[in-house]
Amino acid sequence: MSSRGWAGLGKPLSREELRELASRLPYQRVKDSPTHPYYTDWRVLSAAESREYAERGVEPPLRPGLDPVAVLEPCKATLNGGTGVEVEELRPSGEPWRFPVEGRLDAVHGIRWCTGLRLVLDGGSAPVFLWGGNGYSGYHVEVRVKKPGSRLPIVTYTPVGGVTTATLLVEVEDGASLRMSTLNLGEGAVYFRRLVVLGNGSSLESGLSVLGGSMVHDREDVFLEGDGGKASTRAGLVSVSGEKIDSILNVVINGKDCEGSVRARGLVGGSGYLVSRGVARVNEAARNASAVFESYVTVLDEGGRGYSVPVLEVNTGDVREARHSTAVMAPPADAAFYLRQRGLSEREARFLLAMAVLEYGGVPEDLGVDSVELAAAALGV
Amino acid sequence: MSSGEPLLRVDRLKVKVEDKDVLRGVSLSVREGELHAVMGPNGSGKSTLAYTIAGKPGYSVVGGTIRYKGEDILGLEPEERALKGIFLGFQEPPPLPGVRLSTLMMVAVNKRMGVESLTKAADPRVYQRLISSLERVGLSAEYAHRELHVGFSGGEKKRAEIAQVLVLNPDLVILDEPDSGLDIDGVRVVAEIINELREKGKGILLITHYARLLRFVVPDAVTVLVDGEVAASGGPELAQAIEEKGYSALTPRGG
Repeated sequence: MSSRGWAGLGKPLSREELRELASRLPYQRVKDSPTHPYYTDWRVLSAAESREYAERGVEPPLRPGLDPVAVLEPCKATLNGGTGVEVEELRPSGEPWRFPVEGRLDAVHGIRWCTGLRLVLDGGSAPVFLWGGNGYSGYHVEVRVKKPGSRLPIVTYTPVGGVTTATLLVEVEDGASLRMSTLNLGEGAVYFRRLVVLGNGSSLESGLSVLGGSMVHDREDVFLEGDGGKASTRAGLVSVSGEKIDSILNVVINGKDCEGSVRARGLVGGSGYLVSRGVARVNEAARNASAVFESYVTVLDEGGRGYSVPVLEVNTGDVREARHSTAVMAPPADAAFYLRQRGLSEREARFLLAMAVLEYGGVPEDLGVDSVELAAAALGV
Repeated sequence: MSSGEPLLRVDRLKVKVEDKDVLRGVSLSVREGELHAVMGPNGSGKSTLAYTIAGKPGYSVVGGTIRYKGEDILGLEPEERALKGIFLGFQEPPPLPGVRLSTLMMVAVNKRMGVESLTKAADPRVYQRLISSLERVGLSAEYAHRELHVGFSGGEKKRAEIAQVLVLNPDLVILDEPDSGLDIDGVRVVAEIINELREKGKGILLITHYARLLRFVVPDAVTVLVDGEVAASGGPELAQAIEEKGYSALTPRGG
């Protein structure tokens, strides 16, 4: 990694230290709110500590239309070449663990992950598939982006009954740019953390589509460390009956003249559960920054639960723009009638709303996934 | 539709909304190529008439009939009425977070062509037609990709509604206060389009509170609603009279 190092990382930890942390750390140190202490159902994700490793990965019923440069399955990596891409398998070793450990599951993941990948992007596209199995699956991917125009499409799938933990570290070097498209097809239990660091004049466009599962904890931390960096995240989150999503999207601005934005759209159907939250933080060293966080969650049915907590934190007096907005809402009163008046049936209107949310970050287009199939998968029809 | 049958015939229509009698025996008709203006003060039942023709749930018809192209449409769902060619331009169109106008128009056109796909345009010209329609109403192509009515000004919403008329090409166009929120240039554009639609043989039911728009489009017929009843009906001179004297001239206590 560059001399700058990984923003947000603590000191590297040995396996012994990880084991010690895994035995004493709570799943999270600070409660999320007085009324709802833990947005993530850690009881479901705690299976990552004890489940046997899955024997093999399970491909999702929804096939992306891209050729992957790497397919990761439990303890098995299949690597393919790619133009403008260097691919190397990464295996757990005695090297110190560098991903930030904030809670018990981070430490457990640091100990248990077994399949990994290191990528260098020189302007190429590197689709990566992470197929979870019917047991525990743990993945770790490190990416260095060296040139503009690089693309990183990621699909992760965990079948019902499976539990997956995954970490992704990305450094976007000075002047480089990355389009990252992440499709998190829930179903099972998923703990997926992504950390992206941007250098001087570099940029990130992150698109995200998340489908609910037994518990999907999906977190992305973006650090604008250099000057003049730009990062925008657009996320579409859909959770229907019995499914749960806790989506955390953070952007931290430390450089001068940077722009960071997060825009999330969520849809809850039936008895689904969805949390859309995160922080847009402008730190003291930042100057003339723009920080935006929007989060809107629509709850279609009475039994659904939606939470939206976009936090804006400004620690400097010199900021160009800082705003956040949020709503948890029923569909606008006339929305269904409006769509029906344009010729759509009630079912199609509901479908269109789900499809719109899932397309919001541009992920289906990037991944060559049929939006209708994706919406059908999300709605379970 | 038999010859001589109007495109839309509303006969002695009585409508309840949440147990309140809102329309009490309204009759009117719209022929092909005809512009019928429905005027009236606030709360007179104009929008209820529009919603009821379009089939909005919760608007209970307790008497009378609505016939479209000779067919009783009271038993039809809103989408069935839409696919038969009835378009309602909303007075206050709802914001649709995440739904792009381009996606909605593609699906809506597909439905009209009998194609179920929600992602692939059955008619590849739809997108171009949408862009040119947006430009026609004074909106940039960017609006095709924006979330529909999210963050739109009042005037932008009205322009976006009219653009949809141009894309979907309905036979009966119901416009509920299409001029509210529009500046004078916008009113002129909308009036121009209404006149063109009329020339193409479309039937237009224009619901308006003020006669401002009627300076630019001359209605063939005018019906004035007051308290859910037809207080007056006539030709363009009626709109002129209302502009000069106000609605009070039509009420028992007025003028």
